[in-house]
Amino acid sequence: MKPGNPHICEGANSSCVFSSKMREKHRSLFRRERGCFIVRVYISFDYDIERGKSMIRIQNVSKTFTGAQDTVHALQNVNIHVEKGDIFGIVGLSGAGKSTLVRCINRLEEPTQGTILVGGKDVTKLTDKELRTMRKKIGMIFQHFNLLSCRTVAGNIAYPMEIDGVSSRDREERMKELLFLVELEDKMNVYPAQLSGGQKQRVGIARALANHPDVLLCDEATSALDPKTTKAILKLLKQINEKLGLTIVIITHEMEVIKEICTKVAVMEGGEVVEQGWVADVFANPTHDTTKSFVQTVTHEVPAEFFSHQDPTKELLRLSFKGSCAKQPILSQMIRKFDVDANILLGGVDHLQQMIVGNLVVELSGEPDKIVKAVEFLKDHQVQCEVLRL
Amino acid sequence: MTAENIKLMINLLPIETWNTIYMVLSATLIAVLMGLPIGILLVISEKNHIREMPLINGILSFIVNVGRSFPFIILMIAIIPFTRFIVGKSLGTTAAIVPLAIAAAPFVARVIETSLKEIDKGIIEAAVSMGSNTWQIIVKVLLPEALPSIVLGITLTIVNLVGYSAMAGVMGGGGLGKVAIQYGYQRYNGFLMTITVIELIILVQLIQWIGNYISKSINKK
Repeated sequence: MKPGNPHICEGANSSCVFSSKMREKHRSLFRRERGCFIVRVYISFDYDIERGKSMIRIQNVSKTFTGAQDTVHALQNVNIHVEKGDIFGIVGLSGAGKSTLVRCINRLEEPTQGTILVGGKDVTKLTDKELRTMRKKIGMIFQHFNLLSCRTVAGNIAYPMEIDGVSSRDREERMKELLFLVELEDKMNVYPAQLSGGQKQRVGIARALANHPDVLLCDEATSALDPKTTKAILKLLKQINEKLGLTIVIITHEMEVIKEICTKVAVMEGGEVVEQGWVADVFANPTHDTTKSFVQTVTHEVPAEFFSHQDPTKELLRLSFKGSCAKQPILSQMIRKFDVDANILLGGVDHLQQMIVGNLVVELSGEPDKIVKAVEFLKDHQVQCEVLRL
Repeated sequence: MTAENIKLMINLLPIETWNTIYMVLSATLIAVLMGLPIGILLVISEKNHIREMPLINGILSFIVNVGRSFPFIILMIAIIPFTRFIVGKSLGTTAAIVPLAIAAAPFVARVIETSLKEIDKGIIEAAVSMGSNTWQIIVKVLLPEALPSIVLGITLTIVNLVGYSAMAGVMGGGGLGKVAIQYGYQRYNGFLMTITVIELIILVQLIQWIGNYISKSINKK
């Protein structure tokens, strides 16, 4: 290597380049060749190219439990498409079938009907042996953590590598990376019973990531945690998604979780997906009643007394702004143009995955025909308008 | 308390205590070797467990129940031909190990089954989700997770076998039971009887204490 002659000395995917082993290599290079500068270039192009590729495709999946007295249709004709790099949220009340659905992905439940493609392979057609190989590439974390109580933190993280036949030296190295990632380096030799809920889930995450999975399934992973710990765990998941390009599927009954980290969402009710799409779209314009009630759990509610009057010169509206139109003064333009008054009752702006979504509840007052025109004007400017009535 | 009694005690007790320990521990070892696989099979072949096999589960369960319904004294006599086949004779301390082990094996199987059933289903599910095969789940998850409970179960088995081993005195087996029957019961030696009983009490207490201690020290829950 000559001075003034830059070249790439390392090219690999980001998780490799940032591993401790690689860094060591650069350091020795630096010591040997004095005057040579190593510039770390962050190009995660492999990740970007891969992004958008299909990761999980659930097609027409149904699951029926046949009991002694009755049959339960836990899933009915579910179609979901998760792309690589997505954080895909599945939200629903308990009994909506979301847990059954996610468990079909690694076949902890056998779907009665339909196909499930993970990375292009149909998991419903795998033999037992192929299924076990596939499961090693699908990490899973659980509501109650499900750690082995007789093993230390290190032992728990080592478990998936042991069953995969990873040598003890490689296990040690991977262990250090994982403990660093989940910030539990000081708890290596501690038993799960001595850990807090958040720490247990961190061990669960490290364990799920041990074999470099393509997908991480989270089955109510934060439901047993307090709000503060929930945020920390979600932040960690987000960080993993960004750093490793890992596809994450999250099952939850809390819309807060979806709002916090998901890029896409599917809403389930009675074993069916009633609505799905980008989180920002679903939040800005929920169409199904279940979705609306979920969205309302994280947005604000209008007090009931505002609904009570029957005055034709007044109209109560919920306006949703999304993206660029949230940045324009559309409301004040409308007021000037149509000679109506707007009384803002509620308002809020949320950041949903780089997308700005504004919500306003306003009471327009003025002549009825002007109000109609004003609403038309808003709609023309891509503002979602919903008339609120009792 | 006469000098003769003291002499008898010194002559008999150490060797017969050893005989009891020898019979009980050998029988326990054999019973665990037989009962452990049956216990594991009973659990994993259950509905919704890792290897659902209703037929095998039903058959095994029936066999275990049959084994457990024999009163020990009858079992001991009933299997004399089998004992003779195995050890070459039907009398004596070593011969008593055979019926003791056979009586304890179904008991051990149930003890193991109960211990394994205590394990949180979620832990097994997590192991399945990570791609473990059946053998890995048994060896790396089920047995280690249930070990504290299994140790207590085996302690229970040993204590039961101490009781059964006294009955082995009837068919010429050695041990503390023989002392109690031959000297205490047949020769009206109240002193020796009392001493034997006291020793048995101490023995059982000791076994239980050791079992509890081991179980507690390996329990990380």
